[in-house]
Amino acid sequence: MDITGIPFFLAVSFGGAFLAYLMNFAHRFLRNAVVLLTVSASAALLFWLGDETFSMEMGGFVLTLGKTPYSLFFAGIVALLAVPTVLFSFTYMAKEERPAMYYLNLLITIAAMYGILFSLDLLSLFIFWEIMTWSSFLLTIHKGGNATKAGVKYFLYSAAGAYAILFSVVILYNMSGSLLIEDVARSFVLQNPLMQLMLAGTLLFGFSVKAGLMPMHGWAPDAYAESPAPFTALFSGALSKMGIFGMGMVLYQIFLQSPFSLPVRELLAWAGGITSALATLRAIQQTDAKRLLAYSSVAQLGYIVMGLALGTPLSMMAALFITLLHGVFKAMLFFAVGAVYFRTGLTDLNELRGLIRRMPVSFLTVLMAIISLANIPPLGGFVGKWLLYESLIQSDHYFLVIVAFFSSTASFLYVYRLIFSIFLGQEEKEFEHVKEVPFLTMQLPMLALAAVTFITGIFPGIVLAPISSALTYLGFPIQHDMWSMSMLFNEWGNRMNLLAMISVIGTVFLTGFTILYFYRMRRTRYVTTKDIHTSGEVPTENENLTYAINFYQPFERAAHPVLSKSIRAWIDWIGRSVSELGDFLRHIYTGDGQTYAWYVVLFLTFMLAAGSWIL
Amino acid sequence: MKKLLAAFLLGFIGYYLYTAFAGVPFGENKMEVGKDYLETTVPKTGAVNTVTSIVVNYRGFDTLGEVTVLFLAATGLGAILFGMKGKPEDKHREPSSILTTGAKALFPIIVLLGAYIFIHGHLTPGGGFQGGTIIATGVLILILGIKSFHANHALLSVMESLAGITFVVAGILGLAFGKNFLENILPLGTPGQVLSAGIIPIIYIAVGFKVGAELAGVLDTLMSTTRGEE
Amino acid sequence: MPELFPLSPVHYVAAPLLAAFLLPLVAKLSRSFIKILPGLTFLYVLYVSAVLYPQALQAPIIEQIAGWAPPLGINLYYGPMAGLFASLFSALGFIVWLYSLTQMKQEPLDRFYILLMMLVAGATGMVLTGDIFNLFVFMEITAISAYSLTAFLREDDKAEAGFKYILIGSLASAFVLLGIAILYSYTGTLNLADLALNMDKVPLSVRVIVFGLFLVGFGIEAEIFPLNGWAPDAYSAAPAPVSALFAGITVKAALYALARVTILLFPFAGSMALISILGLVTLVISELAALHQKNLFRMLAYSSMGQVGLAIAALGLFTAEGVYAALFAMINHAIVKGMLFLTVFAMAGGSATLDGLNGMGRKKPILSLLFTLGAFAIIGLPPFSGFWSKLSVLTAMGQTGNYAMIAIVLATTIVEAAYFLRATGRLYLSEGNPAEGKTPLSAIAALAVLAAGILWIGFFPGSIDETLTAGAQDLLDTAKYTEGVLKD
Repeated sequence: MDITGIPFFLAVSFGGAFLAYLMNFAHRFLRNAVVLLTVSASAALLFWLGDETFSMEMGGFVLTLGKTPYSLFFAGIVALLAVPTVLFSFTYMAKEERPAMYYLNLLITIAAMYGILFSLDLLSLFIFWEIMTWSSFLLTIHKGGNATKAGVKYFLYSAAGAYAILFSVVILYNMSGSLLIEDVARSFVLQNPLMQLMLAGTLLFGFSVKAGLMPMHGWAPDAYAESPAPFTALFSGALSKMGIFGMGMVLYQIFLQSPFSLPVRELLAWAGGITSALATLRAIQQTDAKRLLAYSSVAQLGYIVMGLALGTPLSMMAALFITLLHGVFKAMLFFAVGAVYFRTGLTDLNELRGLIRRMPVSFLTVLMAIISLANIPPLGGFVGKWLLYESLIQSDHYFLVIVAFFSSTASFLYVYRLIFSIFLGQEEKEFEHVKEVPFLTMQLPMLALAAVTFITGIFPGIVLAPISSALTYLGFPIQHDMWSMSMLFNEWGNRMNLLAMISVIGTVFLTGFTILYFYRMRRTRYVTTKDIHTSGEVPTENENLTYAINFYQPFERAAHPVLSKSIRAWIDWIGRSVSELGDFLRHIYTGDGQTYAWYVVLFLTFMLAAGSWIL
Repeated sequence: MKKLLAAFLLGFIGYYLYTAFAGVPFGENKMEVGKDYLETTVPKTGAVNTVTSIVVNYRGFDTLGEVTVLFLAATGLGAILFGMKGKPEDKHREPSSILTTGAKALFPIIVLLGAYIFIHGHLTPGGGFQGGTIIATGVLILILGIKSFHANHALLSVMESLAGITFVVAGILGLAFGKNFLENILPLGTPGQVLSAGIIPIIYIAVGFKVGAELAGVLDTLMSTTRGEE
Repeated sequence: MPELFPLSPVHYVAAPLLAAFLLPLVAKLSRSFIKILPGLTFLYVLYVSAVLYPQALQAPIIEQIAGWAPPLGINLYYGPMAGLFASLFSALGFIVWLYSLTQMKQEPLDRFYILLMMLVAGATGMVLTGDIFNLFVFMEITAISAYSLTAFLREDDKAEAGFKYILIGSLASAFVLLGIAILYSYTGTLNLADLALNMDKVPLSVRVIVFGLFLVGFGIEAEIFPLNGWAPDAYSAAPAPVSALFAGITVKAALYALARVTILLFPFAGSMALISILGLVTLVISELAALHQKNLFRMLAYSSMGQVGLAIAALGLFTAEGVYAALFAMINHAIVKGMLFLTVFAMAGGSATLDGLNGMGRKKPILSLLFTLGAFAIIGLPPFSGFWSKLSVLTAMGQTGNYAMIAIVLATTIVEAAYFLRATGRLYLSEGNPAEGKTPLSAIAALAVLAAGILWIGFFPGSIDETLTAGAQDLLDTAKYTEGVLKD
């Protein structure tokens, strides 16, 4: 087999999964070695991947695999996150049960993501899509307990999305007689516009479920919160991006020529904007670190969809840039929260506090990540968000700019809460014995990703080059001087035009710190955590009076009218109604033989009557 | 109300079935198959009794199936009633000595009649099913007439098995002789003789034994369950 | 041997019959024969399949019982479709026997195995025969074995379920028999091929009545809504190996009969569309009814009905692709549902509830994995067999332009996923101790064969392509059927 071919690549990825499963019965070091080798090998093979496509027939359908610049960019994200994820898992999962299943499913998920990306036809895309879904479902329920419910929910949302996709795929196949995306695209434009709208609509709906776009985001908070932390990093960072990949493909490879393309994209952009705003507000409410990050992920995916849907070269660039960066910093955050959980067994922000000296590396990771998330230069997040604003303004979406800016700003609130509740504040006795996590398997992945945010912040050209070839593949007119599209970059485009910005921002910060230092720090006063005003009431022992309680109460009061209505509740209501309908229908089967005989006789009567009536 | 509705529905279905059957053209000769049977049975099968030739030969496979259905009914009954014991009853009166003696006297005659009927199945009306049933009624008389009577289950089951095996083997022999399943492999003989019509009498005798043994077994199983005996 | 006993399709019926009659005799010699003989029988019919089925793919084997050419005598028609079913039934029979070896302990075992063999032989006879009355006889054989097996465990509720089954099943028999009687009185023949040529003797209004009778009669056994009331009770009452056979064999045989009769005798657009619609209704109602089911066997029963509904919906299209898909769905369902029934029984016993699955992932990891595999396959997740069968159903529906049907099937699949994954999730709750108790080797072997089937079809769906295509053609090409049967 050609080692630069896609079949070999997928064989390594999937084969490694099963090998690791078998090796688990030998020794765990052997297993870990296989796991690490598999993901690194597939990451390395990405560089040598040849251009030739590969077809095979399966069940009467021709499946075609091949790489495109667009898929290669996403594959890069997967590879970038997969290696730290497995590394982080080694120690993290050592305490957990059924490690063999965990690694099997993890590697299958990773391999399936590659499969999705390298599918040139809709059926193989769907096949890998479903493999990814069930393997990630199994990972989500790995912990048992609440995770089971969250996992089932995740799967059902995903199934709704996946079958929407399949619905379209079957009809498209019927129309074009081929599954290849390019053939489908060719015959797609010949359909009547309403049909086009329906087909593209179902496809977009299906992919947007995975991306967690509102209103189909209901699975995300639970699934992210309950799945094992290393996997959550991959889940939010790479797996949900498969939805973005699919949406981009549908919007620009299939749907673009349709008269409905523009309104649909406008709608999507708005959905993205609303998603980012509402999810940010929700994130602020959360008291669980992982749920907070989950909502934050939904919000960030909202930005990406916004950029993706606008469809200007600049907005696409922004979307893809944030796609990568969000993957990186969200993985860092999930890792860090996972590290804290690993040492303390807690993710509740009301319980954790003052870990900064115990876990300095984790603190640093979170700090870097939230700087990136909050779009503060010089880290990578800034570049993406800037490009997004710029593209929104250039395409005259002023209201969306306001929405995006609002949620960006609001996101300060939750990232602050995150870092403050966990790391800052006074050290507590119960955390006295907490140590930093091991270096090689847990710190290293976090630090490596932190370095990535730094490098992409200073040298965005490294990322922009693959993005530009991806966009060229999608048909966007990217000139060689794509850098000139944004005022952000220097004229060579490989570096940010940072000097001015950094000096401005640096000055502001330095001034601020200086003032704070002289004004506040000197008057530092040590108090115990119980030393909080209680308005004359004597607090009982069960009352947790940590400052983190009701952290944003005033804000929540203000946002209450928006947040009191939950879309998730509506969808849950639909689920419950179906379930009740099922319960009702179950009573058709009364368990009484006579009733069944009645059914038979009534049915026969009906058939005879209907038959003679028709005649 | 429910009964009224049931009556109405049955009437409705009945009406349709009536119309279906009422439309059958009566007396017209549409029965090509039936005509064929009537005209060619004797030379082709050597059986004087056309009905028997149809049952055992033309549609012998159905008969094998019917025998199996009976066998299954007996087996199923045995399975479901396995190990089940009724209440030991005392209500039944002792059979009178007339009944007891009569039963003993009648039994051989009944068996003989049954045997006659199934042995002559290919010649006269009657056959294995009828003969077997008559034999089983002989057993029923014994069960009713003699309180302590028990059919010999082992014997019955052996008889049943051997008879069934005979039927199937008779079929398979057809295959073994390069013909079809259940196809006649014996000389047809002179129509009207007892030893004629090839394998038909053999099969019918087997059927007779089988049916007799099965029905007797079923009766005995039911009786011993209700009598509270094993 | 081959010279002495030339293999022919009749062996499918004759061998189990012989074994069934022999069983009481050999049981007297040694009790161990009771278990061995059925296995040998199933192996033998599998051997028959291995020899005959490839021949049937070339040209249908038509056997004239007792040497009478149809329509005088009864004939067996062993074409690609019948061959496929007969082989499938034999294989399932063997697997269920293998499983029962250690898992079935309820006495009287000799009777259990007789009934089991007859269930398989009867269903095989139904698909083999070319004579409509003979079809009825085999339907009776199947049904009577099924009734007894339903009540085999002899508890009150099992007996009740068996009784319900008898009640509804006798209605089925009565209606089918009435239909046959009407047909016979108009045409004077019972041979299916001959009937097909003589249907013009039957007035249209009568044909509608007969179709109604057959639809109800076969529909009861094929679990079409609303005729399937007996099914949930019977499935949950019968011993699990038997339930596996109900799902895998009896339903399929009835469905085959319905399809054959419809395409030969009532090839109207209306009757076909009706079957399709009934299939969809069955699918929707059964899947929804399963959603709230706590008793696992009842849940599987509803799911069975749903899967059969799916197959019926595809079958009702009566296009080459539709029948292909229906056959695929039936094969897949036979394998997967069989495996699920057997796995659940091995895992949680005969009265398994959803709660009974809690923490099984630790207690019985292999069985849990198998259940998960089965659940994924039945939902239709790739790369397992169910995906390809569902996909073929969908593309078949797409080809006829029935997009609404596709949407309905997909929507029910979500419902199906809901209850199957809820059960799967239970397995991995952290309860119980790691690896408790051992599952006997014979049970694991039986399940492994089924699991291998799921994976094999999942990865190499092309391997059964020829089989399914030939089967679909065989059903649809009625001219070839009648000519083949009545050639002399």
